Parts: sequence; C-alpha cells; structure tokens
Amino acid sequence: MNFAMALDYQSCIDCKACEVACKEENGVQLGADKQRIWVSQSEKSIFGEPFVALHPSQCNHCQDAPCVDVCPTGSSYFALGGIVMTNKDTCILCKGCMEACPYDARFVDDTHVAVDKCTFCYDTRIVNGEMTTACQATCPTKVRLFGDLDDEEGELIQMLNKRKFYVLKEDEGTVPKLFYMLPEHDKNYAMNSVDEGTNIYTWDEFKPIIEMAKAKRKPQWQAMQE
Amino acid sequence: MASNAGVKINNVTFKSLFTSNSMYIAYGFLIFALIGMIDVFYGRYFLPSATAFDAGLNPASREVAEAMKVAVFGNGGEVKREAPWSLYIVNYMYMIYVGSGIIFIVACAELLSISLIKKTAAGFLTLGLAMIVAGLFTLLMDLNILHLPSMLFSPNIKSGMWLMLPLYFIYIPLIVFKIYLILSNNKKWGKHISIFILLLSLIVEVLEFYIQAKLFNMNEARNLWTTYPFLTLYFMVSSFAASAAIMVFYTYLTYRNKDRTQCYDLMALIQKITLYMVIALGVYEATAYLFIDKRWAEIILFGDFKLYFYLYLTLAVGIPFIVLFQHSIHNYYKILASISIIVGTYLGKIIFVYGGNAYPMSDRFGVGFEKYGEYTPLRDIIFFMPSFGEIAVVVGSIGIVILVYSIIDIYFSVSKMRNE
Amino acid sequence: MQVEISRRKFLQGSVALSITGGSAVSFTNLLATDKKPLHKNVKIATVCEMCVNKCTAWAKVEDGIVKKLDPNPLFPKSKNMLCARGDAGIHALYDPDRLKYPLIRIGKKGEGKFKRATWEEAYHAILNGTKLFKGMKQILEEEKDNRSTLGYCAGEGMGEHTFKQFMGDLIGSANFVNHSSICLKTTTAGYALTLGAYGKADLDNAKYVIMAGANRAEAILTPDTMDMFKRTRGRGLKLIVLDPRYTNTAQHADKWLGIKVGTDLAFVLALTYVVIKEVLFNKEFVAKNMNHFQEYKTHILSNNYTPEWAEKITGIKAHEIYTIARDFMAHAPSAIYYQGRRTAWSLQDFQLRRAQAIFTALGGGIDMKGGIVFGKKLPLDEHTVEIPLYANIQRRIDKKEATFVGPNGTWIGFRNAIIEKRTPYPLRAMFSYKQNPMQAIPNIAKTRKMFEMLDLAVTIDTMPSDTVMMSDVVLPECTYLEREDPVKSFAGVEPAIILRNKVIEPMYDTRAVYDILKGLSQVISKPLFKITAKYDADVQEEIEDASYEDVYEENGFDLTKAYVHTQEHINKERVVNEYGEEAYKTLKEKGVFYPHMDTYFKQLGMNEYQYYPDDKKYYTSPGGEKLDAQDTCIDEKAIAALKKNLGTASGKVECYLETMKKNGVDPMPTWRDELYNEAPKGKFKFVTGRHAQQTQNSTANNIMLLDVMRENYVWINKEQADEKGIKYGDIVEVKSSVGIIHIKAYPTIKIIKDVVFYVHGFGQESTGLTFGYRNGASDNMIIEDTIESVFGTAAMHETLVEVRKV
Repeated sequence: MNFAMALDYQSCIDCKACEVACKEENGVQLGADKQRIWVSQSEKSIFGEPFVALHPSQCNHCQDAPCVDVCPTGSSYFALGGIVMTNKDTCILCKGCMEACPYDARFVDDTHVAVDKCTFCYDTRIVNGEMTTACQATCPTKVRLFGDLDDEEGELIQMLNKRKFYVLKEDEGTVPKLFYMLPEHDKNYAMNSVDEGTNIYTWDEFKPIIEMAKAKRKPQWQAMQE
Repeated sequence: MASNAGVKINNVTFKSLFTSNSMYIAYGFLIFALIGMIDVFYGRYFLPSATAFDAGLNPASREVAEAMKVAVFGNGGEVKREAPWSLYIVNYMYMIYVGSGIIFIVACAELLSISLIKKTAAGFLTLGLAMIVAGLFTLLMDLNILHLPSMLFSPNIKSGMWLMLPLYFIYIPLIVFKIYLILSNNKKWGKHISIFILLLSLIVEVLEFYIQAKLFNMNEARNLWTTYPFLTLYFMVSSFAASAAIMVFYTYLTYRNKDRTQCYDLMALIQKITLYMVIALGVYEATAYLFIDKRWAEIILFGDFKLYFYLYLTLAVGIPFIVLFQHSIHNYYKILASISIIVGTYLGKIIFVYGGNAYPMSDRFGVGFEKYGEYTPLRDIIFFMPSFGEIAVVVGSIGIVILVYSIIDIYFSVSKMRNE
Repeated sequence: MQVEISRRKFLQGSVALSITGGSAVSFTNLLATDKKPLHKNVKIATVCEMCVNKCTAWAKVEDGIVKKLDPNPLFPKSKNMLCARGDAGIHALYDPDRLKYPLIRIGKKGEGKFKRATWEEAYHAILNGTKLFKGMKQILEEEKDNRSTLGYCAGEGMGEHTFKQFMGDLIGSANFVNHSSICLKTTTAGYALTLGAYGKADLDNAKYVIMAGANRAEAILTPDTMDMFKRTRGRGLKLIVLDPRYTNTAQHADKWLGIKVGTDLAFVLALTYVVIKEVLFNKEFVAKNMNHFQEYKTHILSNNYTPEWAEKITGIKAHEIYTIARDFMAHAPSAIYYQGRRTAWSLQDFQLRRAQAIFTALGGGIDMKGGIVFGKKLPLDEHTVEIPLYANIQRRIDKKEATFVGPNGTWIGFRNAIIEKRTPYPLRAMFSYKQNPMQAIPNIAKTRKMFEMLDLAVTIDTMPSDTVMMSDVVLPECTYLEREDPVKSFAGVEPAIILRNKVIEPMYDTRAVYDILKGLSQVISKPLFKITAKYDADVQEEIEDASYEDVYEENGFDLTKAYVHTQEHINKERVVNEYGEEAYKTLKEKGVFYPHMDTYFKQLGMNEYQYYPDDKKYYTSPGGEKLDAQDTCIDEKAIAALKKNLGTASGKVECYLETMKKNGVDPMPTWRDELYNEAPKGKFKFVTGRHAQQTQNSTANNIMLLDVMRENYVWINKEQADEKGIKYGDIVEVKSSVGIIHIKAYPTIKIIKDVVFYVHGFGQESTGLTFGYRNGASDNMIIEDTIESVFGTAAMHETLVEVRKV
C-alpha cells in the first residue's frame, strides 16, 4: 500500500468544508493558523480583470519526506502506506520538521505542545479500513480522490492514467504524493494556476520517480501505529 | 576531594556567595529569566487551548468557551507555523557559538603558546562555558521539556538534531576538564594529555559548527540557509568575531584594576584577533550575497530586512574596523568597538534565523504567494515579533552567563592570572 | 381521521393539516432514552439544519457525544457532501451559549436580564404575563378575541409548519410573516406566474447558464452547487456570471461581467431584443407554449431595448450582450438564465424575474432535460386535525403595504405599519420561531422599535439571538440533532423522502418545537377558549345549542388534541400509510427513502453515486390531469415534451399578465428609469451577500465557522480605496440614511467601482453570544427599508452609502 491523493482542483469553490471536516474529524486545535488542511488562493489581474486561483492543499506525504529525517526523536515517521505521521508524545518541539517542510504543512498543536499535521485520517479512518478521508468525503464538488498507488486497478491509478498532473515544489526533491490534476479543458486556468515551468506528468512518467523514492524509504515504514 | 586533586577551593560562605556584586547583576537579569519562564510556561502548559472536540466534551463550560475565543480571536498560539525558529534559536546559537568561539580561540592560543592567554585561559574558558550553559538554557526554554526524555528513549540517531546531544555530552565535560587541568596545575597528566584534550575539543567544536550548519542547510526550501556559501565557516567566522569582542570586553572588566599592563597587552592582543575576525566577516558577507538565492537576498539587501542588515554590517564590521584598525587607541574605544560587534553580530544572527524564514513557503504553485482565506492578509514576507516571554528569557540568559561564571569564579578564582 | 368542520365561517383559507393518532413507540433501539447512553458508538441518519438545503448526514455518536457529522450519500438532492456549515453542526449542538432553559424577562426590554424558569412558569407567563409585560389572556381580552393581534414569524425549517399550524390554525392569527419577503418572493412569484412554478435549473445537463447575482459557490444550494462546479471550465457547462463582485462563482465562469447594481432587467431585455430581432428563439416552442408572444415581441422591439441602450445602463458592452444572446440560443434548449434566490435586489425585481423566465422560455429550455425542470414529488400521507374557527379574527395588518400581500406577508411593510401606527388594529404580541427579525430585516433601528412597542414577545430559539434579547419569554428549542422533525418529501428530477432522526436526547432543559407547543397548548387552551366564549358571537350561539364543554371539545378549541401523539408516531403513520413498513424502516435506518432505492441506488466510484437510472429521472413532468385522457396510448412524457402543460392559468408561458394590468403593475417586463437610482458621485451602492461559511445570522456564534472566517470586511474597489487612502484592515465607517457601522476594509480588484459589499450575518448585538457579540458589522444596520411595490419584498440593493476611513 502506498497512499496518495489526487486533487481535481479546478472544481474547488473554496467553501472550506474540507478544513472544517478535518478539524471535526481529528479534533484539531482551533485557530486560523492551526490547519492540517487548507484552501489558499492566489490572485492577480489579467488585463484589468481579476483572476483568482484556488489551491486546496495539505501535507504532501512526501515519499522522500525531509521532515522525517530531521526529527531527533522519531516523532515524525512513516506509518502504514508511507503516510507521514507525528507522534505527539515524543515530539520535543524542536520545530526542525516545520523548517524542513517546503509546504508549511506543519504547525504546533498547543494542546499537546507538539507538532501536528495532516494524517490522511490515518488514526480515525484508515486503521478502521475506511478508504476515504474526511476531506474527500465532505467535499461538495469532489475535488479529492484518496487512494493506493500500489493498486493498479484502483480508482486513483485509473485517474492518474487518464489525466495529466503535477506536484508541488518538485525541485525540493521531496517526491510529494498530492497530485494536482491539470485542468485539461481550461487552458487559461491551467496556465494561470500553476507556474509554466512546472513539469506536467503522466503516471507512466511519474511512477518511476515514486518507485525510486519508495524503495529508498520503504524500510522506514511502520506497519501500524504503536 | 577537590583539594586532593590539586584544585584550591575558596572558603566562601553561602551568604557572601549570594551577596557579591556580580551576583546582584546576575539577579537583575535572572528576574527577567524568571518572568519569561513563568510567562512562557504559563502560556504553554497552563493556558487552556481548545480543540474541535472540547466543546462536545464540556458543552457548557465557560473555560472552554473562553479558550475557544482566545484560539480563534487571539494571536494564534506560541509558535507561528510560518516562522518556527525564532529568537530562542538566535540566542541559543549566539550563546553556544560565541561561547565555543571563546574556547576555540583560547585553544588556538594555547596551541600557539601565547602566554598572555594561557595565563588567563581559565577565566576565558569559564566564560565560554557559562555562555554555553546560557545557550542550552535558552534552547530548553524553546523545547517542550516534558517530552525531552524521548531524546533518550526514542532517539533518531541519524538526525543532526539528535547528534547535538552526545556532542554536548562530550564537549561540556571536556571544557570542564580543561578548566580543571588549568586550575589544578596538574603536572601528572602531562603535556601530551593536555594537548590531546585540546585537539579533541577543537575537533568536537568544528563538528558542532558543522552539524549546526547542516541543520540549517538541510532545510531544502529555506534558500538563505541552503545557498549560504560554506555555512560552517560562516558560523565560525561570525561567532569568532563576537567571541573576540566579548573577550575584549571581559578582559577590560576583569583585569583593568588588577594588572594594568597585562590587561592592556591582553586587550591589544585580542584587539588584533578581533580585527582579523571582523575583516574576515566583512569579506564573507560582501561575497556571500553573490551566491545567496535572489529571493532571499532581495529581502535582506533591498527589502524589509535592509535596515537591519546595514545596521548589522555597520555595527559588526564598519565601526569596529575603523576603531580597531588604529594601533593605539584608548580602551574606551575598544570597549565601544567590542560592544558594537557584540550587538552587531547578534543582529546578524537575528537576520540569519529570521531571514531564513522571511520568504514565505506559500508560493507552492509558482503563481505567487497564496493567502489562506478571503480576508486573511497576503503575506509576502514573514516576520513575527517574539513574544514578551521569549524576549525576557533571552535577556535573562545573560543572567545565566553571569551566574555560572560568578559561582565558578568565586569558588575557584578562575579570573586570577596564573603563571604557567 | 376525518376533518370535521361544523363552523360557518372560514377565516382561514385552508384546513389541510397534517397529524394523526396512534401510540408512540420508538422504532429502533438506536436511540436510547437515557440522557447519555454509555459506550454506545453508533451512526444515526439525520438531516442537517445548518441552512435550508437539508442535506442528509450520518451522526457519529461516541459515549453519548456527537463526535462527527459525515455526509450520507443516499439523498439525491444533497448527493454526497456536507459543507463547512454542515460539518460545523456539532458546534450548534455544543455551543456554550445555547439557550438551556426557559427564561422570563426581569429587566428592561432589550437589556438581556432574564430569570431561569420552568416550562410551566414560562407557559403561564405567556398566558398571564408578569408585572413587566402582558400575557395572551389580557391582550386577547382587551382586543376582544381578535386573534390576529398576536403576530408570529418563523424561519425556514422542518418545524416551520408545526409552528405555523399552531399560531395560524389553532390560535387563529392571520398575521404571519416569514422569510419570503426578505428572501426569494419576487423570484418565486415571477417564475410561478410566468412558468407555473419556480422550478429547478437542471445544472447537471445544462450547456449554457447565465448566472446573475446568484453565487452558487458561496451560497450553496443543493444539488445545484455540486452539479455545476464539476462541469464548469470547458467541462460541458458554459457559465456567464453577472455580478458587481468577482465571486467564487465568477471565478469558475467563462465570462464575468461586473454589472452595475440594479440594472439586470435592462440586460435581460437587451438579450431578449437580440433574440427576437434576429429571430434566434425556438420557434416551435414559442408557437406551442407561449402565450401573448406577439405582444411581447412588439413590446420589446417598440421600446428599443437594444444592447446599445443596455450598455449605457448596465455598463456591459453591447457586443458582449449580442454574443451572449446568440450563444445562449445556440445552446438552447439546454440553456438557462438561472432563476436565482435570495432577496429582491432592486425595485424592479419582479419584472426582472419575469424577463428571465421568458428569456429562458424563448430558448425552449422549460420542463426538459438541461433546462428549467419541475420534477416530481413523492406523496406523503396527509393527516388532518380539527381546527377551531374564530369569528373575531381580522385580516392581516400589512395588506395595503404592497400590491399583492400573500399569507407570508411583507416583513418590512408589516413592521413599518406597526411602528408608524398604520395598522387597522394594534398588533400587540409577536411569537418568533427560528427567526431573528432583529438581525434579518433591513433597518434594525425600526425592528427594535417594533419590539419595544409590543406587549408580549415570545421567542423560540436555540441561541440567545438579538431577538431573544428583545423578548419577554424565551423558550429554548433543542437543536436539530436532538429531535425528530416532520418527515419531508423533496420534489425533483430524482425525488426522495428524508427523515431527520433524533441523534441524542435533548440537552439541558430544552424541547423540540412540537413538544414546546404541546406544553403551551395544555396551559393556554382552556383560558383562551373562555375569552372566545365571551366575545365570539358564533361560539356563544353554539354554546346555546350545546354545552360549553361540548363546543370546546368538539369544535377544535381544545388545542391539546393536536398534540396527543408524538412526532415520531405521526411520521411513521404518514410513511407507512403510503409506502409500507419497510419504507419507514429504511427511513429510520438510512434517513432516506424513495421507491426502488435498493435497486436504483448504486455507488459508481469513490465519489460518484447513481440515484435513479437515467431513464427513470423526472426531467419532464408527466402531463398530469390536464392532459387529454384519451391520449393514453401515447407516452405521457412524449406528449409533454411537445406540448407543455405548465402550472400557469393557460398552461403556457405567460408573457402578458392580465392580473398585473388590473392592479396597475406592468403586465410585461418593462424597464422603468424612474425606479433606477445610480449612485451619485462620492457615494456607493451597498450590496450584501453570502459566503459559504455562514448561514444568514444563525451561525454568528459558531466557533468552528468563525475559525475559518473570523469576521466580515467591507469590499471596496482597490482604486477607489487607494484614492481614499484606505488600506487592508483599516477601520472604515459605512454610513447610510438609516445607520452607521464600523468595519475593517478589504480593498480588492474583485468588486466594480461605486459599489461596496460586506457579507450578512455578523455584527450581532446580543451579549449572550460569546463569539458573535459585536464581531464584524451587521448589514441590516445600514440597509434602508425599501420594498418593491408588487409583493412588498425588501429591495436590499437600493441603499446608498458613504465610506470614510476613521
């Protein structure tokens, strides 16, 4: 199993259902800054007309996650299926992982005085055998599709095979597992919602990158949370 | 025990220990430390914070209601997600590395058999040690001390952050042992051991600088840290400049009334060291920004950080260079220059740590910085003022330096000039 | 049970009431009767009440605590989603400020000083009053049993009917006001009078949609929101958005046009002009299904509603109008000028809606896939109870406030008539249920005055709203997660019946509205009949024939009879009688039922479900009784596709309305210059609207929703803000003729010049709201109480404001 998520982000309407569902599902700390998941927006003016791109995002559960390496206590670790988790009981709050993350995906949970982040609903759903995250389930326009990259028959792989996608900040070498589906029918949105220099992938092209990083990291994966 | 080993312990009553002048100064600072600790710990461990579940668990609780209100309408908790490392880390780095720098300079001087420094080595080493303790104190205040045992029980020995722990466990006893050797004037151990210890401490120290640089360097996306050329070297140069300046300051304070000539000579000697360090630092900064990532360089050289940056260069390099370049100047100017360096290099560390976080990570899609909600401000630069408690802890850490130094000095007279 | 009407006078128009008898047994064991069932981790099917959509949800209960609300994918209307508000429903339940027990006012009105009371005490206070306020008894005595002196209002919800039935049918008041006159009344009326019904835009299949003013990305409406945003941006649905603001809906549009506020009618008329002039309309549809088309054609052409004319008014370039008109017709009949919801914007709103409906009809997209559809509604067994008839009830007080004032009234007209003392008789009490008139109606100062003038204000709510603060007796309702509400059937292309099951027992000393009214009826029934017997000539006459007790018992005056059964039992009867036991079992367990659900409903993918097979969907409503009964050999749907049988008088699309003509209203949509006010220099037009994280003002204290949006900001065009030196976050003063507010500024390129906007729902004044109190600013503080004259609907975008930095 290798968990990942595809985001058909052109359907996002910034209703913030995912943000709220996440907080309610996981009992996340309250506070605008305390988000495991978010919809951000970038704005510009094109010939005097406003243009807004919406960017639903969360932890990328990088296949080659830098946050895991820096953690002095193993509080950041790979759980089942390569999900990047934090163990709040062993976090000494050195915040190294927050500095290491290129996506600002981590924050301090003041209730535990420890670092918190998206878990793909690992402890509330996946361990119970559910295969949808709270954010996916709640989404009115179904932006997200969670799934298993090892399951060739699965819906996620089928979608990745059908459509082109890109990942965020590829240059950082993190091999992220949030796949952003290129808005294939709207060139304007595709052009303006992501940097033109970004690599656009098909699954066939990206799979070896994932496989390589997985081979490197797989030994660190834990079977179940202790 | 100690006297058996040849170290003379002064017979000091507790009363006179705690009522000495230097201790009073320490107290002045330590009050800040205490207030800061109370403020920080209260906020961290005692203030109720609220999760999404709390309302359901205590539906009619006023405490939960207030906690939720603070969570949503307050300033958003202790650590800002966009700038995790803050003034604590600045102070920690400064104290540890300037302290280590002093020890490094002393060790080099010993290797070069510079007698003036050999005579005063115990005092310098103790000062360095005191600064290291103060640095560690600051770091501890930054960390969640309740979870610290996991450094021992669930270590990730491959992480640089963890490696710092055994390094300190080796390094600090080494310094203490060095001080002991000096104080005990122990011939028994012989020169070889002494040199071995010296070399070992130098190696450990360089390793420390290296790992510390690595800790910053491996944060792939914070390009100020990843593109700074030879970060280890930079850490050393910038720290040593401050170390030398502190040594000037210390020499003046300690020896001006004891041995005027020796004091003057020592200051002249360290003045020279300082000057070299300052020049090295100046050259470093002048060239470093040719290599540093444009986005960060822009913020620091021409953006929001520019005033601080030029103030830093002026204080850490400009003023001291002009002052110290002259051969015979009054001590007061030397003191002025050293204070200028101390403040300047501190500012440099602030720029380094805060600057590394200054460029937001929110440009994830390459189409500009993202804001997190319709009405949340778009941040194109990250800077958060440290909290009151954090500043108080940092100010208080000076008290730790004075406290540690004074206690050792009062018992072991480390500041006494010794003949070899 | 048979309805027995032995009375001679029918003051109430309708006697069709629900409710029947039987014993109350909870169907499943899921719902323990203990306050906190221990160690019970269950999932209960419920229905969301955070807004009007009624999405089905699963409530996850752990140890008696509602832990999480998840979407229940079984309901075709809500598909498989829960929005931010739906997810935050838990915080409506666990809001620390909830009303926890009945309250009786002991301080000055509006001061917020109450004493805790038992239900009995509260009921008796309503009946008898206290030293500080009068009770129903005294008021009705003084008004000689004119029940209409007791006004009542309700917000939309599954319990609205329960409350309305109590106040209107059992108590007998004619003075009901609800949300419609501050909501979509002109729109529903416009579409109903033109097309026969408001209908539903089939955004699942439409190919071209003009969405003007409506903001489906932020004002979420199921299933429209989910249907359309998966299809925008080159994926099948071409979207044109007209809005002075670049909304999240505009963000998805192929074209955003920043239209000037209040000029939409000119835009639609110009579109119509192009279509008629260039003969682009669907000739067959028009010939068969449009009434008075020739008159309309002449009207449009002779008035010269050209795009060039419209450009001057709307600010939209003529060539854009030409393009849109042609594109629309090229995509017709799968092309819709979206009906829209929410309030009237301008004084010409009714005519605008008519023009929209006619324009859509010109393309033929009515009652068919991809157009405006009417769907089918699954029947539920109707049950009835006896209702009393009172002789002394007088007609509504706001009848003269607009041309047509229906049974839902005109809120602004109603209120203004009271405070300006224009009512034919005094309105002395107000019973509010699930509505917060203090915040909901433009010009708050006047609403406050109305409440101050009342002798009795009784409010049923879950939260200490601003209206609660103005009340004499407050009755705490439990939230939607703590009660079973009347079962509801939803019409649509894919119709279904849903049931809101009780998830946990009511917390604190709260009750469902049904039980509140049951308790109240027990206290007030007999004393009120006494007054009726004293003043009601008819009743007196009857008492002469029969005994006092018999008249009370047998003519519906015993109000408690309406509540002998539990809500659960009534629901069961209504479902079982129509669909059998299994259907009811399904509803209890799954929250949703429709015939063949077990075979029709399929999960197609992680995110996709099928509700009805395509050929079983009700895109075109079956002809119904108006179709020629002889034509049974021909497929009903096929006939309907050819010749529509709309719900209008003629069964066709009505271009010309004789009734309007008779009442001095334009019979055909006509642009009236005198009804349009452009903002003079230095002033802004104020518009209000919605974000997807709040529902009206009911979520103002929901901490989870405030977590994602802390407060409201006033949008002002960036250039104009720069001219005024206003920066992001600056406090600005927004001033209209009726009020002044302070609010933080949000200069943005996403709003056209001369318009400012801030979202509704903030700026609550109730000190009972820990989080909502004076957080942000209330729009109704500054919106003038202007009503359009046809239906008396609040025209909320007619207010001019000044903005300055403070």
